[in-house]
Amino acid sequence: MASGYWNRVLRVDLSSGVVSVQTVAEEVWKLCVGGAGYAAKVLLEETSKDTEPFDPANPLIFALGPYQAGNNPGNAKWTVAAKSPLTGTYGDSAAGADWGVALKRAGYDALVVKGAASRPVYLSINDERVELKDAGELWGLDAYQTVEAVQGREGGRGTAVVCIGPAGEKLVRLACIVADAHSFAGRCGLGAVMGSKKLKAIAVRGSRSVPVHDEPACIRLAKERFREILAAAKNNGFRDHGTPNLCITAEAFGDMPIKYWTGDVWPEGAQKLGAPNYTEVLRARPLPCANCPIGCHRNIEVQSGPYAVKGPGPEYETLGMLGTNLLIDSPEAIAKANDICNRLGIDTISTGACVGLAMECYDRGWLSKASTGLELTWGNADAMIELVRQIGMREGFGSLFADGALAAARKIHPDAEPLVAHVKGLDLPAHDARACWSLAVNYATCTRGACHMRGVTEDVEMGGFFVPELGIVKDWTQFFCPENKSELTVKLQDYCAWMNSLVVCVFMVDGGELSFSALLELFNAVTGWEWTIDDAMRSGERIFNLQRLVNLRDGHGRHTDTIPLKMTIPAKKGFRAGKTPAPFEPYLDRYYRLRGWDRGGRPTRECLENLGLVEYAKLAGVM
Amino acid sequence: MSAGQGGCSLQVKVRCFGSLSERLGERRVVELSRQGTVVDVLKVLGVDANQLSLVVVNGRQVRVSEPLGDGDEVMLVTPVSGGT
Repeated sequence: MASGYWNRVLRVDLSSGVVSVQTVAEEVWKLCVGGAGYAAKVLLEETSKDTEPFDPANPLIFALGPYQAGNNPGNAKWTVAAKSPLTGTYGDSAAGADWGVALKRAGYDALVVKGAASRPVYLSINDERVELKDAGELWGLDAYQTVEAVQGREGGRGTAVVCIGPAGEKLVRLACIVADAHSFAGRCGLGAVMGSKKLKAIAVRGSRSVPVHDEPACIRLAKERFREILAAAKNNGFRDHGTPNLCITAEAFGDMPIKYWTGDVWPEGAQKLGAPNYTEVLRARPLPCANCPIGCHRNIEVQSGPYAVKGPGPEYETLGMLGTNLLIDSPEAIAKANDICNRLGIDTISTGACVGLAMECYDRGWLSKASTGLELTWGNADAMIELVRQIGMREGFGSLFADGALAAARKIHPDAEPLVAHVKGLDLPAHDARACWSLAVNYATCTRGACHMRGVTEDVEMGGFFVPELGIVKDWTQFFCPENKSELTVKLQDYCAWMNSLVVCVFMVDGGELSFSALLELFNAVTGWEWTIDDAMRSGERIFNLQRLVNLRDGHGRHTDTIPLKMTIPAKKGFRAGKTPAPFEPYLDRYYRLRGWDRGGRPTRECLENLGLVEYAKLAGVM
Repeated sequence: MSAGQGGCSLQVKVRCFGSLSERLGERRVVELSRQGTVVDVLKVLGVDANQLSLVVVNGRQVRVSEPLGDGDEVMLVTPVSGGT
């Protein structure tokens, strides 16, 4: 057996009710590592261009990696993937809390769910005992209620649970998957895929430890790195203030979304939403995942008033997309909207994009109070909260957005589609590519659509993250200079693809200051593979190209490797005044050359041979 | 008169980000007695240049050796990250 792996994938067919365990050879893990890499392999092999996201044949893949062996810092992450209801191609998302570690301890490297049940069910996994159980009474409950109810049936609070809320049940294409009422696999609408299978929840209890190559080294390294990451996170404010610590800096550098990407500056808003005001007003405290020294998630409380709420608080992305993006500066109101999103189970990023589009269309006179029932003026927090609720419940005017911002725009007005800030159907997160030009390249080419977390290049440009092992050092790339933007993107996309396949929380390296070398040392102690930095980067490149093959097979390519129109319109004032990454084509051409792709964005035969992906390219119909 | 024209004192507006803003406050005005660079501002503030991940003067990313003029706006950034 490969060290760090069980070599076992649990397979559940909801149509037939058959549960089986698939044996997976070490060679497979060496090819794709696990997590997002394994998910790409399954999607390539088991779906076709014609597989629709809500087709029972669309596999919902929950995948772990070798990093979940032992108590490695930041190992609470797990990956979920399927063909996305928003992009129609490879879609993945990651979350934390306790669930992924529990699944690994139950004796599995991944769980693949196919088919669809005829009535609501939940899956119960307790080591070897795997059962499908009736979820009729759970259907309709919100996500927090579901976690509590499932834990009540399945052994109490020690049972880890992922579930969907009403949004997933109603096939809202912004639906997320909720872990332990704490962490959220938000992007790509994968909660709706779970809903299409009538799978309400997955409960896991695990009692086993997967063997590792060098157990004493694993224990020692995990403890040492935990201490170092904790010290770094205390020093840079990440532990005390979480991701809201970024708001003021991001706004000052033109990175934060303002007025659905049409505004230039709003320092007053960022001051109110960001730390330290956020921490004080919302009484925020760290809410760590399992084995996490940082605890970036926030536990918050608003004690009274219309926005009274207690539980997981909004992250930077939510403060951006439901805050500055809408000219809303009340942390309490955003905390309330965030709670509604969490309970109904919708992605706060895409939801913020939908509300932003609604407000922009309202501003242009394409929507009215008479047609919507809401006064959707910029800054109207109560209207935002009500629209968020309606979207999550696929109800009233909000049902217009239940298939995503792009689909809504096509129904609102003939000229509305160009207003939607998306790539491949996935809405931009709360980072502006006009400030950090490498983001333009990353957004355009990321295999799940517009995403910053599969490259985190903006943190390099804003000076928060460097990888000396890859030559990514201070001043290597600078604001508003074209040099090295495509290079940075390729390097970090490959590094992140490898990390998302281990599966490690990216904040251990970006914010926790865990070096690539130290992470690799942990990886080798677990697996015994003695990989070098080059081996890991080649692995990341292979995984990224596997995902790209799914994209190409599903009809994406150069024509969808684009940036939104709004990213080409310069600001009139502020840090990025007059600056945009347009014309964008030269960045894309350079990126393709660096990747060994042709002008259409397809890997050349030489590239595929070097990565050992020729057979996969044939399978995808790409060569 | 700017320092570049005669070596008189000059004032620069400093904005601090990240953990630096918690220690020094977000906005400061620093007076230098002669022509100076970002390094001189850091000396006045008691900041180690190695702590900084980014220095921006008048909207342009620079090195700490950058000469300063009267009224310049200096942004000093210590590492901040986290955008999930």
